[in-house]
Amino acid sequence: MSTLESIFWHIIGYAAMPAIFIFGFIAVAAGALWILSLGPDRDA
Amino acid sequence: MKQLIKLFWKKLSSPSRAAAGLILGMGFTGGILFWGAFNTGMEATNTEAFCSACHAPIVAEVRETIHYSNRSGVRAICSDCHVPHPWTDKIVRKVQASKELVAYAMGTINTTEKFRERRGYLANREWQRMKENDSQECRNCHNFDYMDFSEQGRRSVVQHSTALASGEKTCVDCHKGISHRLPDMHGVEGW
Repeated sequence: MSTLESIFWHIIGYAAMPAIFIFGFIAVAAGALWILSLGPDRDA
Repeated sequence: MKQLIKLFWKKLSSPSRAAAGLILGMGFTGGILFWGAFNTGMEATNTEAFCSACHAPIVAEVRETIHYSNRSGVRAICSDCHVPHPWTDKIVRKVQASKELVAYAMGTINTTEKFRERRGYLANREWQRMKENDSQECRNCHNFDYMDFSEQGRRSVVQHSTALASGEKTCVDCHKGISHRLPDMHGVEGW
């Protein structure tokens, strides 16, 4: 693997980690908001 | 889409009528479910069955070697040697491996002939990767500090106590083809 290729994949690879956490948060938040909309936050 | 994001943000930034315990509980449970699903999915890509989808001829070869069946009952599968174990390194490797999906879609090694033709290239890439990370995956199981030289052959003792001990060489410099048949070794250093 060339140095340029290695740098590229390491940047993409390390950038994937915060992306996983952020998308995980968004998915859990969306699910939780949907559940809340069925109950106490129905009229909010 | 913009409206949806605005609505989502409005909901996130407004106080809820639900009890704090319920909201915390949902976040905690949701976090466990997300992480469990994510890790389960990632581990599914570490199985022999997954690797076999493209690399079937290589996976079959492993079954003939000591890493697959031995007196100690310890087995190393594909991912033990080809996927880093520490989480951050593993993610980087998995993301890097996403380009292999393109090769899968293009059918780069979808026949035995194509695989044989590309075998040397694939092996060289993997040897280079392991050389660069000081044979990290070998060292997950084989620790230099725990080696008993009295149990090793004379040639192994000489090489391990000099070249390996000094860091001049790493495992994969000598231990090529330990779990697979060697490709054409023409031009490979030391062979």
